[in-house]
Amino acid sequence: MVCIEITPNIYWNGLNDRTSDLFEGIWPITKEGVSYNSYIIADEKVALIDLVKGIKTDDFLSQIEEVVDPATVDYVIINHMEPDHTGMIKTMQKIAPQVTFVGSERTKQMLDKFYHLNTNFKVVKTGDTIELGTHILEFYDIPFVHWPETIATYERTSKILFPCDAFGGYGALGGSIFADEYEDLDFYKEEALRYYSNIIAKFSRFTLKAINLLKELDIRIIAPSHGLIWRNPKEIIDLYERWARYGTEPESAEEGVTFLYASMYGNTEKLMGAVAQGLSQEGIPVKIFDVARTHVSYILPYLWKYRGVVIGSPTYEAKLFPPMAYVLDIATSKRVINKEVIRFGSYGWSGGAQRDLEPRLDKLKWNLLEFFEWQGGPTLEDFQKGEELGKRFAQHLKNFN
Amino acid sequence: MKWECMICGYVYDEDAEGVKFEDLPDDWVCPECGAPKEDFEQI
Ligand SMILES: Cc1cc2nc3c(=O)[nH]c(=O)nc-3n(C[C@H](O)[C@H](O)[C@H](O)COP(=O)(O)O)c2cc1C
Ligand SMILES: [Fe+2]
Ligand SMILES: [Fe+2]
Ligand SMILES: [Zn+2]
Repeated sequence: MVCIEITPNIYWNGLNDRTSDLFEGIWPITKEGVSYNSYIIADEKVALIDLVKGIKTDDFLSQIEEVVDPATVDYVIINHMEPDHTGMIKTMQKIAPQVTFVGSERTKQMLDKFYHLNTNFKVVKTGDTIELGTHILEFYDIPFVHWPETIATYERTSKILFPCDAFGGYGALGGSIFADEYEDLDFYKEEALRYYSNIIAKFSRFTLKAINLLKELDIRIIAPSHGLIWRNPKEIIDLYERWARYGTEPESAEEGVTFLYASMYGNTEKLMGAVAQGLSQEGIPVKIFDVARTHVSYILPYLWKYRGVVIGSPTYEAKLFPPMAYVLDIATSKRVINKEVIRFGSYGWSGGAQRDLEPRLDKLKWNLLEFFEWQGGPTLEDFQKGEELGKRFAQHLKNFN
Repeated sequence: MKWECMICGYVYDEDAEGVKFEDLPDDWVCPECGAPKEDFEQI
């Protein structure tokens, strides 16, 4: 692409990545893509805010050249040193050896360990500023959004906040870099929640802290380092605040059910339909996932926002079906805690899935209301029991608050 | 006994610290990431 001016002398200089299959080596983006946004402030002094992943180096440099000679860059602000934003750092240093990298004390230490560079580095902390000319950069520590070293940069004159990972999302940028120029934002909002639940959710408490700190600023534009730029900042701040609250205030979760199931020979699957019917009859939103066929990345946003979880899993070698155990493991490490749960599943001889499940639920602080197991294929009576189970669960969820 | 911060992985070792985790004040936070006590689990 070409550089795009956001406000006078401030440019978007990002890259769209439509060819990587996995973000962070785990989260699928084959269909959706992702952008690594970098920004140029071309004033008396020239600053880049965040770099990009180490792909398309020539494209990145060519884009800078549209605005300034890359060799003349004075500052590179490292809001966050994860390699999706610093992959180009060695190249930058070779091209502009005089450049001063700017970041937190922690960034300085980590940058050294990751890249072994001998660079000029300026340590900043909350409230510090750098004058570029008419533009003035202010820095704010926002630890653990996403890593411990992370800061956000605010430009006083244009009132743009550059928060790096915060307020970001998956999804390569389409015809515009600005959210307000899209007729329909559903795709980007969905991908922002998927990104939040995959990457940021665990650090929700820190996200709320950061939001409270940054809310004090007069922010006109939010320019994150993944996804769209928001000239109506409230829209994305409100979404992020809501998502962060799901983590810190479980009672704020939405009424709805993430319905996880898996089945080897169809016995558990048969009851899946009955339980889901029971739920739907009561008007509860239900999102069904075959956990063996769906990447957990797509499941996490639903687990994150909905209060209810249904677990349909047969016994497999005296334990839960492994793809189900995997989803629960990821939910545990992402701290998707405090859910209301029911479980059902078929077994062949002595079972074991339930015994395997219970300590996992303790770790998750998930409240198991009921479970229902049967041997082999379900009978007509079992179907009825499944439907009743779904109904009771729906009623429980409706009466929750 | 040891307690682990579920956010950042910091381990609080009661033997090494000489203070039981339960006896730490309610407003004690993880020295690594600042997470509150309720984000810790016994390991
Ligand atoms: C590889 C494999 C391992 C199994 N291990 C157990 C087991 O350890 N204990 C048990 O009670 N049933 C076990 N079963 C039987 C299944 O739980 C039983 O066939 C059940 O009806 C499967 O439900 P599904 O059709 O929903 O997959 C196993 C089945 C398979 C195929
Ligand atoms: Fe990150
Ligand atoms: Fe990132
Ligand atoms: Zn911690």
